[in-house]
Amino acid sequence: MNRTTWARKGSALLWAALMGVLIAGAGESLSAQTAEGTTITNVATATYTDANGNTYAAESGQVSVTVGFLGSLDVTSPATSTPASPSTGNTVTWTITNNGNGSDQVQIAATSSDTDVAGITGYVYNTVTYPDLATLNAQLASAGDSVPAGGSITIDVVYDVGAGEGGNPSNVEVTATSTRAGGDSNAATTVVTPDLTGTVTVAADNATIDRLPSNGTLYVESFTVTSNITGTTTLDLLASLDGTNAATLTIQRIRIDGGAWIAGAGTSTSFTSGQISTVEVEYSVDGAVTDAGSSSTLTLSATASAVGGTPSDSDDHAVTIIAPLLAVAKSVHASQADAEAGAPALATNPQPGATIWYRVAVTNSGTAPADLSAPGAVTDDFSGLPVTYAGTVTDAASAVSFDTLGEAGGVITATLASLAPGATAFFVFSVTIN
Amino acid sequence: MRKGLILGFGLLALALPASAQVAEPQALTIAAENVTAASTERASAQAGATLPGDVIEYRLTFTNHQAGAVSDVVLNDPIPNGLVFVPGSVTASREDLLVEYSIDDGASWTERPTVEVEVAGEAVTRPAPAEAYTHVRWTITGSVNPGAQVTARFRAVVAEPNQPNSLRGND
Repeated sequence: MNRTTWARKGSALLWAALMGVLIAGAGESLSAQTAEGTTITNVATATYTDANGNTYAAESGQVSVTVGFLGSLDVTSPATSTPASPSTGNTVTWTITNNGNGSDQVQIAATSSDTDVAGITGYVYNTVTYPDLATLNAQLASAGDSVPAGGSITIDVVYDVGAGEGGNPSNVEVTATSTRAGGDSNAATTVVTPDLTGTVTVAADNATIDRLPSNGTLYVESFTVTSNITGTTTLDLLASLDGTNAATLTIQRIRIDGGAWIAGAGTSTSFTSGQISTVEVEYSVDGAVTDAGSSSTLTLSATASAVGGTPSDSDDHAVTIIAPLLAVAKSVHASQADAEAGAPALATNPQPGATIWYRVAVTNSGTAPADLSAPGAVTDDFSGLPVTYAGTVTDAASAVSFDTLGEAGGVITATLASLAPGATAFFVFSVTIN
Repeated sequence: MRKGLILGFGLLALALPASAQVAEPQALTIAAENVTAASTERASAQAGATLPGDVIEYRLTFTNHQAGAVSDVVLNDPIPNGLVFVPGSVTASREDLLVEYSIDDGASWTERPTVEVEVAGEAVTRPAPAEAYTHVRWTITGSVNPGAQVTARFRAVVAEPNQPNSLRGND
């Protein structure tokens, strides 16, 4: 920092005295400029000596000028304002300072670049609220409302903020214009940016879901993502897997509201305030049937990283791998009734010409329905045995009936579209010993 | 057409010896011209006004009304309160004169006023800033013949906000 001294060589006392004047000047307000109406008088003197050595001292001349009005307005306001969205009755204060050299009177103009963000509803001046500029300016034009040199007034601009406008800026500008000849005009802008805040929620459409090993099939789980942020913002969406058997699932791609699929487990997208969207996550179950019974957690998280506090939420599906597990039991009995009851078994060896009954039972002890719809899914081939089909094959006594059941060429065939986990379907048929 | 020319008057009665206090013409007159107003288009309401920031040119005219030549003619003009001297603006109609300035209310004079400025703890001599000037003085080294005139001019600016000279007195 430099310190200036009006130090004329060999005249320390004088410059010190002058410094006193300068220091005093530095502490004065802006109103220290030459005031309107000030008369500046320049008084000069002439001294001379005539031919006879007479000295004529201090002959003076003077001239005066009177300073006129020079307006200078300074308008200031906060650089920014962050009201809530929505909100009403917000205020920002503009200070209008008269830096001119005389009293001044001003008129006000105010604009908002986005009235949805900041809609001006009134003005407060001297504790009185004016609904519009016309009434405000009428008051400011009254005789008692002039602003003295160096003085200032404040105008509070009252404004409302619409819903969902968080993060959207609006430039609110107030211009003050002098009404005097030679007056000034000045403006200041406050950037009103409603606070961007709120929450996001993620809800899985199912808490649990059972899936077969993919074997080429891809599955899709849905999540409902809701933005309760006060304005439009970007949500980071990320699907993830957890659980002891997480490796048995692979996330393939993701999409929003039925749009184009996006490869990978995550994406970022813009959400408006209040937007509710369906986010689908496509995945494959890479585990084998032997992984049946294991569970993994498919989670979707949504994070508003640009919002204060970084609101975030997540929800998950518990995905359990399922598979059917079939067991076939065959027994032989003396009668149809015994075969349909499953007991007792044939007690003695039959003689040639005797008729015996077989019972074939298919049980699904797995966790997924078994599809037995393929032709010949269930067969009993006795064509190579020394027996002859006796003409009866029936599942009348089975709680679960086959879709098709018949005999041809010494082969019993049956089909069934779906055998539920834990269910048993059986049929009985008779043959004669050759 | 020149605008803003203001003619001053000499306080002759206060300057002359008692024996000569009769209606003699004044030896010193001052005129002020608002140079800025003369060269700037302004609203009609301010056409003739003197405003902060305006440059005023003062013209001092010394006339020898004596019967014989006079010598040791010194014109001394304190910079008025509310004005800031414009360095380098001084002119005169004669060359045989010495122009000096004061930055200490006339206590001392020099052709080139300087100030000491402390830079990084060291005192450095610099030309005095315009706001420091308090006086300007012309000393005519030759004589002025009867009826002859000497004209001296300088310019000053009407002080604007925060200019210290707007507070400086004009003794």
